Amino acid sequence: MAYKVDQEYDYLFKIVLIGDSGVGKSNILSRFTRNEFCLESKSTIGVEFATRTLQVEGKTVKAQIWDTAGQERYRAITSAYYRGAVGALLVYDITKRQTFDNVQRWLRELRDHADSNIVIMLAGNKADLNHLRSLPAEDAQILAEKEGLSFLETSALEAFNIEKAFQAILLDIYHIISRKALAAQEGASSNGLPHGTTINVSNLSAIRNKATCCTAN
Amino acid sequence: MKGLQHPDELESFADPLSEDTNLSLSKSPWHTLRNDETLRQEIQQDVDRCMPDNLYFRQPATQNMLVDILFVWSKLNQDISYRQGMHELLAPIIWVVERDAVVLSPGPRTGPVSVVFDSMHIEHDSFTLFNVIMQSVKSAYDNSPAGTGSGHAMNTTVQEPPMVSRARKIVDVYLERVDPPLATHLREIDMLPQIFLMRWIRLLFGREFSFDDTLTVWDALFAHDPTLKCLDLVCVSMLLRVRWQLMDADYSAALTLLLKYPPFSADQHPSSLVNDAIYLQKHLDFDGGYHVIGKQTKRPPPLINRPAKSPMHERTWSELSSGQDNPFAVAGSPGGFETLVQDAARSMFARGQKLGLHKAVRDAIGEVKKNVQNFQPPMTRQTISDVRVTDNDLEDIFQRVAELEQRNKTLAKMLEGAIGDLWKQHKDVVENRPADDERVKSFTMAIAKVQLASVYLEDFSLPLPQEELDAVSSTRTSGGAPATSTTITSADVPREPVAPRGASSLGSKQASTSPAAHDPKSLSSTRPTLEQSSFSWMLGQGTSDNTSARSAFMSASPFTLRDSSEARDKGSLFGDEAPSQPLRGGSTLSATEKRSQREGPKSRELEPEDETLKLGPLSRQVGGDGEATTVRKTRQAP
Repeated sequence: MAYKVDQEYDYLFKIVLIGDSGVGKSNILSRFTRNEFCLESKSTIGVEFATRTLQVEGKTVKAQIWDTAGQERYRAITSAYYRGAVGALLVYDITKRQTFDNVQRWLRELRDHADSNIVIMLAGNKADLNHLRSLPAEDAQILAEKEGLSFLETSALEAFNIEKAFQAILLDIYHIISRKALAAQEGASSNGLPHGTTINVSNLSAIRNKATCCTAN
Repeated sequence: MKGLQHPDELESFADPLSEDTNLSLSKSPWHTLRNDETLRQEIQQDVDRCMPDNLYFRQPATQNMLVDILFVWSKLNQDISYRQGMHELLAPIIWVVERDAVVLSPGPRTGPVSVVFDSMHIEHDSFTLFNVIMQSVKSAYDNSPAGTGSGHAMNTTVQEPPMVSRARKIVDVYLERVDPPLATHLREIDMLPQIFLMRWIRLLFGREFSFDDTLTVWDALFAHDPTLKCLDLVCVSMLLRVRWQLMDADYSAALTLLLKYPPFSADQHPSSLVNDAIYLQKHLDFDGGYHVIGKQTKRPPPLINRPAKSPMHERTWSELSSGQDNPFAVAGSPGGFETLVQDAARSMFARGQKLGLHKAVRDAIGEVKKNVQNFQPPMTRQTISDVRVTDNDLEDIFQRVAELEQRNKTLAKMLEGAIGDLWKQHKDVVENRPADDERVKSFTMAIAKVQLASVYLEDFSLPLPQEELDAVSSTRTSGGAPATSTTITSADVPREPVAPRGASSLGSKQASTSPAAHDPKSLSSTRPTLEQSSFSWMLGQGTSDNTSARSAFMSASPFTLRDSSEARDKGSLFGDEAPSQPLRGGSTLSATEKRSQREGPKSRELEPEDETLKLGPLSRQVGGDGEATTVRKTRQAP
């Protein structure tokens, strides 16, 4: 069967999408992995999951992106969701202040459950709805600086900054991993989710796709 | 309802200034009001995104109804309150109630139909139904142990939500029992079951299948047990259906598959999922898993993984005897298939000795004999009427039929290896001898017989050949016109999976030239019943004396043609025939559902089936005998 993933990659990074319900997480995921946007998308129940393979500084990186229901505050799947995550895209809706106010709460959750070295990017989504904006970008910028996060305003509808946001996260992760790899040789695991150190270094001699490849599996 | 939409009116009795008093926050009506508003907004946000493709759910009236029902339920169940997903449980209920509703003119309601289907009460009825379903599904929404003090009955010993422990139980207990290798594989790839099971269970599979299929699955679920106790096993059944893909998949591929579950195939009725679960309820063991996987994937798991101790051998004969519901037993062939197989094995053994075959062949035959002996039933048998009288529980009967069928399958599997070895030996023998050597032919026939028996064992929905039944029951008189009998015989041949393409014409031709030689009576008197009959239906003639007929058959036989081919190595010379299922009532477990599990070279083996179909109507026409016609009709039922 074609279910076996035969793609070769140098790194497998797990990135989680978090943020309040209805801020557009699922559309960010579909825009990034399938270049699709659906104005009438259903609420996410539990978890969605997609992957995309792309090039970061000449390395083939497979991004495994998890999307969860925004309402799942006290998740039945919390541990599974954050386990092994090396990056997080914390999304709020620039037209709803409440979703920005809850950013602190999401940060707390990340600190409680995720790896302490997790790379976090704050994303103010629905930037296309500038006329409905209830939150100036400056406020978010201030918060991002205070919390040590990267920040971008994005629009899944207009495919604005989505690619850039993920590229930035993946690059940050890659740099951290490279530094770590220099510091200590880490064991490679060939299969499944990364354990402990949250990276998965696969066969480096693998044949790589030269072009960035989008998988919709 | 007015109060729901305008909660401020509801609160009007309270002092508007009470917020400034020293009342604790939780008791302040203002606090309650704000919480309620937040809750309604939260629900509204999901209702807005509920079933986006369905115009009915885009209408404000429908959306208000959804929000109101969910809001009231959340207020009544504050331990859980509203959780995403509930709206997608409610939506199908409203859809169905609305569809069934009847708009009645004002005035008194008469009769239960007008009361039950009154369109005035769509919302009320939907709420009631939703409330009942939620009693079973509620726990899947309960996140309390990890939560922030929702006050729900705390399961303090287990620091995890009920959904997590439930998901673990589904894989580590249920799946582990029916398919240990799959459960092990899921653990090995580090798949946490709650990740996919949470959505499956919370939405009752609403996102896994199309809307119509979901409704059918729900019908089956609620019809079986409104308390949804079999829900966990439905999940197991779903895992078993994608078992082979899962076994090949790494973490990403497996999760992708489970979160985008494949739709039902054309030959899978959605309710079969629930039927499988019900079957597993009674067979929560390797055999149950083996049965379901074989049925749904056409590829049962290897028996090598079977646990050493099998409950199959512990069943009493009385249970097995209920297998008389299967076509063979009803036809009254004493000894059943064990005898047939044993007979064939014995004659093969004798001929093998004559041919001086390699020891390995004898070993293989020994294996056949041994396996057969393991399953020899006691000599006492109940009659059909005994079973009918003593065992009134129809469901139990079907269950036992299913068990017997499983057992036959296992027998067939055992035979398969031995047959493969035999064919290999046969190949060697054939190469070293002239093609028309009598002993080679009889050896070929013997192996073919064993193989056929194996095929019939494996799929007991295949009726026994007509000659077999006739010869055994001895009800047919010899007084019948010989020409008629022979015509039936020859017409029967093509419908047999083993029938060679040329056999029909061959049989007819010979019938016209020497009808007297094939009088059934004379055949019965000259040969042992089973052996004679075996020959008769395979040859389309049925005489061991008539060597010219046999050699004519051999030259037209696919066995001969395939002697030099590899097809037989798979031991599936007769595989993939598509007979009908006389027992397929569908009312219970669909235990007799057709399943063709063979993995042999299919395109080649489908040919006899084509032949069968083409010649079917012909055989019906020529069938003058009442009994024979009945058998044919059931066989040709779709």
